[in-house]
Amino acid sequence: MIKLAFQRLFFNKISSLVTIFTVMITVLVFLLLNSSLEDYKDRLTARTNNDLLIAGSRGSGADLIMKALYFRNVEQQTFKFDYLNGILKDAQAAPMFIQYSAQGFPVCSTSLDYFNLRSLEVEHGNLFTKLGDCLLGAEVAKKLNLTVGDSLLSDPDNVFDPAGSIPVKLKVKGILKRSSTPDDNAVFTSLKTGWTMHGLGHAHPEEEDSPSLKISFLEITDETMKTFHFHGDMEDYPLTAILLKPKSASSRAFLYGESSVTTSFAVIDPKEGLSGFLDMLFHIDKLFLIILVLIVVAIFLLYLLVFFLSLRLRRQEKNLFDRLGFEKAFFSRLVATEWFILLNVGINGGLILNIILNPVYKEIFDSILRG
Amino acid sequence: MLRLSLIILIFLLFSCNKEDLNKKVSVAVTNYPLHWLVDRISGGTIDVIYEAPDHIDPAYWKPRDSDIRSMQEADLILLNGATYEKWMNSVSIPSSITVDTSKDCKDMFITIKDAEVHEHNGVKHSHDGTDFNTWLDVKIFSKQADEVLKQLIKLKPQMEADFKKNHSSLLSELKLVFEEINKASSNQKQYLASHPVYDYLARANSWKVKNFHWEPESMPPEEEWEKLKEALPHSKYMLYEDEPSKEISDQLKSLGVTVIVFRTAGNIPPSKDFMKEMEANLENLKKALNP
Repeated sequence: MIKLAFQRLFFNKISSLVTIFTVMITVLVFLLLNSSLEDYKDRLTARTNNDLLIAGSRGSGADLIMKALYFRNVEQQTFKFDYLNGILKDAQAAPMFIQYSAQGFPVCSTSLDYFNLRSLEVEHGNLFTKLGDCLLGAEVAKKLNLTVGDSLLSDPDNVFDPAGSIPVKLKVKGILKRSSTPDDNAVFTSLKTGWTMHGLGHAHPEEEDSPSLKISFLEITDETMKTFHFHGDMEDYPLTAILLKPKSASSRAFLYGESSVTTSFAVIDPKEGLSGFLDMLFHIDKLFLIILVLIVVAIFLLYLLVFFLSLRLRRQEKNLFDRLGFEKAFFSRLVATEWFILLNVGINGGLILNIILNPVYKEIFDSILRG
Repeated sequence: MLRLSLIILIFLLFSCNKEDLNKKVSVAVTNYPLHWLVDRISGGTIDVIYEAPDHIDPAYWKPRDSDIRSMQEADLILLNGATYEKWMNSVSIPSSITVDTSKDCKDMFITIKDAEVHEHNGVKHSHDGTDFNTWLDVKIFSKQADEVLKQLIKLKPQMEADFKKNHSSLLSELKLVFEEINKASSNQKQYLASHPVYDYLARANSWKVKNFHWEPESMPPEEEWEKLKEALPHSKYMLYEDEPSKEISDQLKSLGVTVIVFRTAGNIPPSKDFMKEMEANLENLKKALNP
């Protein structure tokens, strides 16, 4: 029976291949779409599925989370560095200043505690040690084809503002191990380097080749460090957010309590801050799944229609088997076997294609998400 | 079999605890007085990371990448504070393990105004701003010792009793030697200082000090000698950070100036012991004032 079914399918090569291909595409589309949504959900929640809190200016919690957790380009009011001092006794804290980019990738200026809180490891090189040093996320290093010892320029904020920020030449001190988080797509510097990009620290060039407008970027060298200085009180310098790991349950409660009585500063749990958004996402997920199932059912019904139509088209074939003395159910069993083979090959082909194409698809999906 | 498994399990648990107890922790410090505090309070049970080379005043030292990396790997980084670590603006060390030992003494700091820029060991600098020689004021240094004790207990809570005992005897010794310095100088309150590094000591002992910017190994120019002559009515005792060269000593002697070597011990002193160095300073003071 199986041999006969194979022979018939082989004889009708084109129609067999078209059927297999259709089944494969259906399975592949279902799996890819489902996995992309699952992946997006996982990534969104993985970044919040820890005990870390976020502190920042009171306002939109979602904006603060998007900026501090996902380095998204959203407007977020800064607050004074001084706030950090009031927090350190209750939590391990990583202050963050996220305002600039380097060759299109967000620059997160932070303290070394960030890498500890986020359990990030350096794969090549070392952590940054000096002003002007940077660490690259795995994806940034790959995309910009940079390695330890290379350099990249931070992007100018406003080229028409001579008193404002100037690009800083960032020396690559290390490359982070891939973490499959937004950290892969970010450039990390010390806070002081971030504040230098912001124009709060600068060097004075030697007078003979001085005109300040000639400086297109600042490179931190032993020479520039001789005249390098910061202006004003560092306690007043800007921060975008503080990543917090409370030392105990009571510290956590205290941090919440403290922030609830101030009007300008808020401590939020990213899980709670994103709860509305996640709820919406879960609803979309359900709707998406229903639509996918409906599409699969519709395709299945179409196959069923094709199956019955093919039975009608193959009436002569059935009569021939009857005349040859085969039992009545033989022809139905033959057709069922053929379809079993076609569906089996199609579904397995779809599964194999999914394994092959999923990484490529994820990369495309990633780039779409990053905008 | 079950009994054997239990014995192995208990053995493993005990060996883990023992390992935990004996785990060496490391503390990075930025000058010798802090190095000494950690050594004395911990009784040598803690590894001290101190990267400043012998020939450089740690206050004007610039850490290299490898020095910063060593500090980053430490369990604790102790700073002197009072603007001592001028390199702090250009380096990255984890703030969660970094402690400024003089942070609670800000109201006791001395500010130097309009200090002139000078050069030694090829490094140009000025003593303008906050005086960072905090360890020469026993009140500030004791508070720094308290902070060191607090931080070391956090690192090794199981050693709390030992650390407290060491800290207590250290404070008594410090108090005693600085009281002796005060007593020894009770009849002589005016001094010349080869370098503006004795302001805390002067305040603690009600001394009046006229500061110069002389180095023990380099002969001051003529105009400096003229300045010194003008200052002689103020005092004929000159505090020096180290033994001055014979040439300088002879010229000072010819002017009737007595040199008192008072090492600040900002970097590892010849005796390699802060207390011994202070005792030597006391002896030098006694010898000069009561010949």
